[in-house]
Amino acid sequence: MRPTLNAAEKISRFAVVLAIAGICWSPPAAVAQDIVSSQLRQGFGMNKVRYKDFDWHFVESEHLLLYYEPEFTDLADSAVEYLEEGYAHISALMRHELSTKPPIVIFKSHYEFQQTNIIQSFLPPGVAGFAEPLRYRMVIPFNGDLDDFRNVLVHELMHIFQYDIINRGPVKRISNPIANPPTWIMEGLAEFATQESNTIDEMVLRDAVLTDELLPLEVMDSSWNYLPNPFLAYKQSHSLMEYIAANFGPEKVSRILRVWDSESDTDKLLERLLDMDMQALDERWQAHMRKKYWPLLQNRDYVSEFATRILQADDIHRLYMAPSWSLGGDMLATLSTDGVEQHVDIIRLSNGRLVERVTENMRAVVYDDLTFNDGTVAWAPNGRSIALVGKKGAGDVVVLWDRYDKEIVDVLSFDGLEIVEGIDWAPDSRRMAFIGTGFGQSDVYIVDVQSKELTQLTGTPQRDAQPNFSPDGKRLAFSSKRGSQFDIKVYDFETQRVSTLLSTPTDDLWPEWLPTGDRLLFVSTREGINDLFLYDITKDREFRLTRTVSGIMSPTLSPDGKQIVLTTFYHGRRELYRMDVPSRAEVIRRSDELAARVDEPAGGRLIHVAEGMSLEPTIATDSPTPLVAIAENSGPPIGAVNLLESIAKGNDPVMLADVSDDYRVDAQPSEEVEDVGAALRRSTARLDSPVGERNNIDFDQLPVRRYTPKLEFDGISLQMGYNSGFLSGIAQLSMSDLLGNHSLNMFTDYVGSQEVNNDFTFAGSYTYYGQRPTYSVTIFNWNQYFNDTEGGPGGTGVHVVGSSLARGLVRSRQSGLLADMTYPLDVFRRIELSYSFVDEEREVAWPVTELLDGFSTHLVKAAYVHDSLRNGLLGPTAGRRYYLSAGRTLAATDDDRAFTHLEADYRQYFRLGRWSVLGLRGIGVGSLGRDGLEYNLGGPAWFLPFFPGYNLNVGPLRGYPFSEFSGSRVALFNSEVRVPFIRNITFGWPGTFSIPAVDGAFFFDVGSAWNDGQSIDPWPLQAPDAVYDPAADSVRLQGGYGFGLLVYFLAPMNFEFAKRTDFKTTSEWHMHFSFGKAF
Amino acid sequence: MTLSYRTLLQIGLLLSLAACSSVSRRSTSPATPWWEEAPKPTALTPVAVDTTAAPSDAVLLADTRTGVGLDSVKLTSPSVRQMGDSLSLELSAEALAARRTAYAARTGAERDRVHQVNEYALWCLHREMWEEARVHLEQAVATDSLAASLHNNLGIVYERMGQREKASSGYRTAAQLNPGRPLYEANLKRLQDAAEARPQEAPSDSVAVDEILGSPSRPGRRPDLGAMPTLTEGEAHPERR
Repeated sequence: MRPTLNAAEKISRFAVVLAIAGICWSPPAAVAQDIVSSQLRQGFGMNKVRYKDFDWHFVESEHLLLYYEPEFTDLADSAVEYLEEGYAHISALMRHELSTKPPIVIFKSHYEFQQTNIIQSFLPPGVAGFAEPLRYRMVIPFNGDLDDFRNVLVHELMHIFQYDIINRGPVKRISNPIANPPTWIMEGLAEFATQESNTIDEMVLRDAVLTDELLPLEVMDSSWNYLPNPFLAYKQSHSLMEYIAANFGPEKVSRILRVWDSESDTDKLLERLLDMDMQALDERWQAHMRKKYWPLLQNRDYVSEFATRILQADDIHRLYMAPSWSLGGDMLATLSTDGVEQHVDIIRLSNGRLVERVTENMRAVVYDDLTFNDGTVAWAPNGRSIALVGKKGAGDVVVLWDRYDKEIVDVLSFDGLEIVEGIDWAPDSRRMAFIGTGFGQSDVYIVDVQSKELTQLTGTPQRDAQPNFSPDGKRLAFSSKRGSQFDIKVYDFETQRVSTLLSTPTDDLWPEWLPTGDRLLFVSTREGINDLFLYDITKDREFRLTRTVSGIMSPTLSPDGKQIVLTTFYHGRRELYRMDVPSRAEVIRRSDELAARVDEPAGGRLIHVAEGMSLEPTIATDSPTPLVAIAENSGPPIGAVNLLESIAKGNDPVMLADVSDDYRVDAQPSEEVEDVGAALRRSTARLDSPVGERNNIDFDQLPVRRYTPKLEFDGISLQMGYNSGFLSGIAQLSMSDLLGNHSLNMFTDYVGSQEVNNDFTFAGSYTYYGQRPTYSVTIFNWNQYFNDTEGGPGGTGVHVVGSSLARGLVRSRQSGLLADMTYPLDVFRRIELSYSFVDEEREVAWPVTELLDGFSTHLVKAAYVHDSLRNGLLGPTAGRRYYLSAGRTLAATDDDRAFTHLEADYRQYFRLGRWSVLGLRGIGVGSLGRDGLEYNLGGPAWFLPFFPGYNLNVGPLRGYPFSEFSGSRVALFNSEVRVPFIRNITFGWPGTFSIPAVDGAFFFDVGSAWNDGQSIDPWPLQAPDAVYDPAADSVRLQGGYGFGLLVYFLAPMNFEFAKRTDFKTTSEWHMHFSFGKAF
Repeated sequence: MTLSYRTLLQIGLLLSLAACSSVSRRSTSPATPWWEEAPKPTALTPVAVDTTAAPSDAVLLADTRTGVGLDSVKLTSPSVRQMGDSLSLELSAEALAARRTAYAARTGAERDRVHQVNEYALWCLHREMWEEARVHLEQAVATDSLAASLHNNLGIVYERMGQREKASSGYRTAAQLNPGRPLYEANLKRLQDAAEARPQEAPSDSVAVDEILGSPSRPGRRPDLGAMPTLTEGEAHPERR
C-alpha cells in the first residue's frame, strides 16, 4: 500500500499560509485583530521530530534527479536503476515524456522518511511514499525489501507522469494543481504501472469477491477519503485497470488521462473511452471477478471448514497480527486494533476473550507508537517474558514485559537498526532472533537479552524474514529472498553457515519447527494462494496441509506442536483461526487427498536442498515430477487457470516492460554466508536486481553533487474582495528549498475605499526546519480598519461630514517582529519559546485624521505542550493533551503594555466503547497586571459562521451567546459524552456522496469570567437557600447543558442545543451551529 | 476549590477498597483468613512427621530474607513410607542432604519467584486455564522442588485435569515438605475420600470447578481454594503463618 497524500494535504503548507493571511486580514467593522493576543494563543498537535542532521547529495541521471545520503550509495544505485527502468516502462505505456527531471528523495528507512520537511504534516506508518504535484517531488523510504522499494518508486513515478500529463507545464501546474481525476483512476494507474500482484493483495481482493464485499465503483469515485477499507480500494482500482487493459486494449489505459482533460466527469470519461458508464463498467468487472474466483470453491476450502475462529463474531477489533502462544497453550499474545488504538493483548483461546492488555498506558510513555508488523510480539518459551516492538525516538525498541510481575523489565535498542520485526525467542528464553533493518538493508540478528550482545547472522542485501529457532536452539530457519522469491534457509550456530533448506518456484514463508526438530511447517504460495505445507527434513518430503480459498498468514505452532494458530482474511478482517496439526499418518493422507482434488500425483513433491549437500535445488527421488512440471503437464486444475496466470506474473513483484513469466528455479544461485561474528556488518556486495538483469547504468559515472539549498516557488495566491465599500486584495508568495528545510512566505495587501487609501503593508516570515528545533522569524507592517467608537466630538466616533453625520473609520497599524523557537522533546512533547515586539498605533483615518493612542508590547512567552491524542473525524477519541503557558511583557516605559499571562489547559478522553468517548477538559487563564487582557467566554467550541471577530475567546460554554462574558480571568470545565450514530453512510441522490460519521453528544459546561478584585460566588452550590446579590463584588458560576449532533460532511459541523443554568433555574433551549472538531 | 476528576477517582477507589476490606472482616475473624476455616485437620489421617529429629536430619524451611525458621521437617524414608505407596519423595540420605543444602541456599528472589508462580497459577485457575497453570507450576517445581505450595497447587491442577495419581502425589509431597500446613493434608484427604466415593468417575467440569474453585451457591466448598492463596502468601511472607 502506498497511499499518496490527497490534495488537501499536498497544499497543507499553503493552507497554513492562507490561514495566517486570513487571520491577519479582517474586513472593516470587524473587531481589531491584536497580533499580541494571537501570539498568546496556544496550539496543540504532535511533533515532527527531526532526529538526524542529513547529509544530502544528489545524482543526475538521464531522466531524473535522485537525492540521497552517501552512507547508502548502494541503495541509491538501485533506485536510479529502478527509476530509469520504470521511466522507460511508464513512458512507453503512457506515451509521454516528462517535461522536467523530477527530484526524487529517498530515505533508508520509514522513520527517517517521517522526518522529511517536504511535507510538514505528520506521516503515519501506513504511508509508503508520496509524490507532490507542484514541484514533482517524490519522497520514498526503503522498508527493507528491494522489491517493495522498486514498486513504490515506480508507483510514485507514475503519479509524476500523471501530474505532468494533466497539468501540461509549470504554469498550469501552479495555477491549477489539484484538478486531478478520481483517486481510483490515479491509484489504479499507478498500481497498474508496477504490475505488482502478490498473494496478500490477491487475498484481499479474493475475499471481497467471495464474501460479496467489493466496494461499489461509484462510492470509490465519490468518497475515496472515507472508505472503510482503503487497502481494498487500491486493489480494486488496480484490478479495474487490468480489466480495462485486457478487455478494451492497453491503449485505453494510456488515453484515460488525456480524455479526462476534456471530460472531467467520470461517467462521461468512461462513456467516451469505453462506451459505457461507471455502473456498467462496475457490473462487468464484478462479473469478471466472480468468474475468476468462484470456481475456486469447487476444490478449495474456507479456513473455517478445517479451523476454528478464535475471536467472537461481535469482537470490535478489525485486525489481529503476530499471534504468539503462551507456554501452556491456553492463551495468545497478539497485536490488535479496533481502528482507534493499537495494543498487545492477551486473549484466551477457549473463548477468544481479552484477558489482559499488555500495553495499557504504554503509549507516549514507553514508546511513541506500537510497531504493527508481523512478528513484533513474541511470548518467550519460559512463559514469562513477552517481547513487543515499539517505535521510540528515531527507531524501534524491544520492550520486555514480565507476565508475572506485570511490568516492563527492560527496553532494548540497537544502534543503527531502525526497524525491528520477526522476533523469535530461543528455547533458553535468553536469546532472541529478529530481523533488523538499518544501513539500507534487512538482516537476521541475535541479541542476548541479558548481556545485550548483538550478533548479525546474515548480510545480504536481499530481504530476510521470519526467523524461527529449532527446538534444540542450534539452528535458525528463516525465509530469505533469492532474486524475487522467498526461500527457506537455515543458519547453523555450530558451523556458522547458512544453507538453503527449501527452494521452490514460489515463495516459501513463515518456517516453524515442529517440537521433534525433524519437520518444518511453512507457508508456500503454490498456485498463487498461501497454503500450509509440512516439510519432513529427514525424509526430504513435503506435504500439503491445506488448500484454502482465502490463504494463510503467520502460522504459529503451539508449544506442544499439536495446534496451529494462523491468520486469514475473511469479510474484510484479518481473523485468527486455530487448527489441529494432524498426525504423521494423517498428514500423508490429507496431503494425498488434497492433491487428488486437482489430479496431482500423491506422495508429495519436493524441490529440496539438504544441509551439507549441493545448494542447487534438486528434485527428490520420491518426487519424480517437479512442481513446475506438474503445473505444466497435468493441466491447470479446475478454477486454477487464473491462479496460474497469477503465478506466471504475480511472483515477480514488479514486471516492467518486456518482463514476462519466468519460473526461475535456477535464476540465481543461492548463496552461503559465512558468519560475521559479533560485529555488525553491512553488505558490500552490489545489490542484486530483483528482476531480470541489471541495466547498463553505471552509477559511479553519474555526476554526484552535494545538495545546496535554493529557494523556489511553491505557489502564488491572489485574493480579491469587496465588503462595505472597501476593496481588498491580498497577495501571498511562498518559497522553499527542495528539501523543505527553508521556508519563506511573503504577504502584502491592499485595503481601500473612496475615503481612505491603505499604506503599504507587508508581512514576511522565514522558518527553518533543517534541525530538531524549528526557528521562525516574522516581520510585519499591517493595517486594519474598523468603525470609530472613540474619536470625533464627544468621543462617540461620529463626525460631521458636510451637512450630515457619519461614523468615522479608525486605522490600526501594527508593526514589529515575532521570533519563535520550538523544540520537540519527542513526538508528543515540546517546548515553545517566543519573543514578540509589536508597535501599535490607532488613528481616525476618515473623515479627519486624529491620533487616538499608541503603545508598544515586548512579550516573552514560554509554553510546554503535551499532545498524545488519537483523533477521529469529529474530535478526539482517546488520550490526553495539555499545555502550560506563561508570558510576561517587558515594559520599559509607560507606553509599553504591562501584563503577565498564565494559562493551563488539560483535556483527557476516556473510551467508553469502540467509538464512544467521554471528554473532560479544564482550563484556567489569567492576564494579570496593569494592562491585563480581557478574555471572552460563551458560545460553542469553535467559531461561528460569519462571525468576523478574532479575539481571546475561551470556550465552549454552550447555551450562551458568543462572548457573553468577559474578564481578565476565566475558569471553565467541560464534559461531553459522544456516542456514534452513523458510520459511513452513502447516499445515491443527489449524486453519490458519503457522510462518514455522525455522532450524538451530551454535554455539561460550567465556568465563569471575572476581573481583578472580584471573586467567584458558587451560589447556589454552597448555599442553596441564599439569594444572589449581584451588587456584591462577585461573579456567579454559569452552567450549560444539552445535547448535540455532530456531523462530518466535508468538514465537522456541530448542531448543539443547550440550556443555561445558574444551578437554580434553567433557561429555554438555545441552538448553536458551529464548524470544527469537538473539544 | 474544585476537585479534579482524578481526585474523585482516587476517592472512589479508596472507598471501594474500604468496602471490600470491610466485607472481608465481616465474614471472618481478623486473625484467621476465611480460607483457613474449613477443612478440619483433626479429621485427617495424621501425617508422620518427626519434628524432634536432629537439625541435621531436617529440612529447615527458612525465610532467607528474615532468617526466621518456619518448620523443621524430617524427611526420612520411614516417615515417607508411612504416607502410602505413591509418595513422590523417596529420597536417599545424600539426596536429602543435597536438598537441604539447596533449600538453605534459597534466596529471597527465589522465594518471590514461588510467590509469583503461585499467583500466576491462581490467575490461570480462576480463568480455567488449567494447562497454562500446569506448565508454569511444573516448570517452577523443576527449578525449586522444595516449595510445598507449588506441589500443592500442582496437585490441584492435576486433580482438575483428572490426573488423580499425580494430584495425590502433589498433595502428598506438599504435606511432606511442610507438615505444619494442615491444608495440604486436607486436600489429600479430600481427594482420597472422593476417590473412594467415586473411584471410576473423573470429575466433571461443574463438580470439579465447584470442588476446587468453590461455588457461590455452595460457599462451604470454597476453602479448597484457600489452599492456594494461603500457600502463596506463606511462601512470600512466611512470617504471617
